[in-house]
Amino acid sequence: MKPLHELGVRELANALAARQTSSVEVTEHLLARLQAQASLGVLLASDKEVSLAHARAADARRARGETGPLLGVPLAHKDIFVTREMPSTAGSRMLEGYASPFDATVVANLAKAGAVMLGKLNCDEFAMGSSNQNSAYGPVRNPWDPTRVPGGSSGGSAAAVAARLMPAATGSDTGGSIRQPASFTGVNGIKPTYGVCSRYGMVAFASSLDQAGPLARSAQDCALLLSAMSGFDERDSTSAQRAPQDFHAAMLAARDGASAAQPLRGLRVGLPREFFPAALAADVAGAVRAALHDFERLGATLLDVSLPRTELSIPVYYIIAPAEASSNLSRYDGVRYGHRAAKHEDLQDMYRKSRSEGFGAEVKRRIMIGTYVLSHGYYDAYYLQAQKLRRMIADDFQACFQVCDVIAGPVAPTVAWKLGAQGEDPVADYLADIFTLPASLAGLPGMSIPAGAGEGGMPVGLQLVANYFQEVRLLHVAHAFQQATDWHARVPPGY
Amino acid sequence: MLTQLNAFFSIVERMSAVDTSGVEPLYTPLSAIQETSLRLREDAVSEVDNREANQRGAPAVIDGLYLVPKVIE
Repeated sequence: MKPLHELGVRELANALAARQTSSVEVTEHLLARLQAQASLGVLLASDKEVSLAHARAADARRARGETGPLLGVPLAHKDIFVTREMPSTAGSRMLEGYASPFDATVVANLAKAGAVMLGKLNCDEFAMGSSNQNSAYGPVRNPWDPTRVPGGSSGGSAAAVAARLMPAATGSDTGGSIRQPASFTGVNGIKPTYGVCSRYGMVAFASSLDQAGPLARSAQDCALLLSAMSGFDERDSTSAQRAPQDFHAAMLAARDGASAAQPLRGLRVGLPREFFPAALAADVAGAVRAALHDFERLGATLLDVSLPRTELSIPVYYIIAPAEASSNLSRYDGVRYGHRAAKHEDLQDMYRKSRSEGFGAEVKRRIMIGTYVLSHGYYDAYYLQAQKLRRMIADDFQACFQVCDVIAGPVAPTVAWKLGAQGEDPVADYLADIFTLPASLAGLPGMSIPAGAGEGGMPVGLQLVANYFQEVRLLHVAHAFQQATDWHARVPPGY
Repeated sequence: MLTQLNAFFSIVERMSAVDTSGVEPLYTPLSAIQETSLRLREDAVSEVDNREANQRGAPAVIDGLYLVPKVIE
């Protein structure tokens, strides 16, 4: 058998089912590996006793005859999900050492399926960022090149999966925070339709955009996790009321008219011309075009479509997300939980100092922008105008889906950049979110799959977007590509 | 910080040039395709008293009450 850390979710499930290994053995192996690779900076919290207790419980369930694709499979959660058994910080000083009295629904769902919690994963503070450099607990390094960022905000999740420290991890995506780090590290990440995964216990950033999803080494592994993570939750007022779905079984069903050589026959892939601008880096454009050529070979038809408001999605998102954040983050007042300044004169001073000390620069910027655009006299010009444009962006997608089944393009305009670069110019970072923001604003499912290599051998991801609740279509298309290519199976040198 | 905020609002200006008259704002994404309304549940007790656990993370608590600096002299 291969070394345990080389096994993906499905392979590990098979090995566990065949009693070739135990959950305790895999958990111990991965905890040791996480410790040996501490310099990547992925882990914010771990507790060997908690992890081993989960593993022993999973082994006992299996001994009693239980089965399941995640039973005994170790994984870790982005530190945006609250957990009873380990601290939850959201990457912020504000929540340093915070012990949640409850588990997020996604965490509870995965625990019920028998997954073992290995720890909590580094991320940008309150999920605000695209390079993981906004974490209060230090950066995460990209396993393909430690001088580069892993992307963000789910940077710890992406780097951990890429470096084979765990077979899969949870993430969250508000404006691209699953897809972009997946692209930068050569792993798979899917952001389902808004409402598919419960937001209960996911530290709130922008409530009308936040959505949880998995990062893993293959489309199949993503499907196994998504089946367990998702489902209606009455504790989330925007949870979609739908029957539970087996994404894995559904994605394996063949398309009508498909053949072994042409599994994607009849699939219409729309390429928004705005996703291939002159400013797109040549290496990214080349890798994406080559992958699209593979789609054609597999039977798909490529066609030209337009999302005319792609560029406008940047200001629209950076009005709406900070507006919601300024409201959500007003809860951190130093009274009920979180950081309280040691020295203060009165109540107002306590609020001011607690928030000044607890929040980092990017979070403060967004709270200020959000508060401003919601203020009397500016609300109509900024916030309301942004929400109207958001409707137009969602309508543009519906026009595209009249003529195509999925939309494809790059995830980001470049490969992962160097640590420290762009840090002083937040607007430059915002502009780099251009290709992930439109699907976020519309609430559509989006996925990033490893599709090639660019400058310096860095991974390039391909983004796929489908209509509402068509996660299965994304996974099916990604799987067909992965049956014919091996980009998803490539491992960073040394791991 | 001021320079950065001004740089940000310069990209926002492009937004105001678009004619959006008659467009319904999209406050929550699924309302793009379906009727969405806030769900109501039965008016029944669903939570248990968990005060001690809920207050464990508070900076200052006495007798189940959150303490703040003196507000009224």
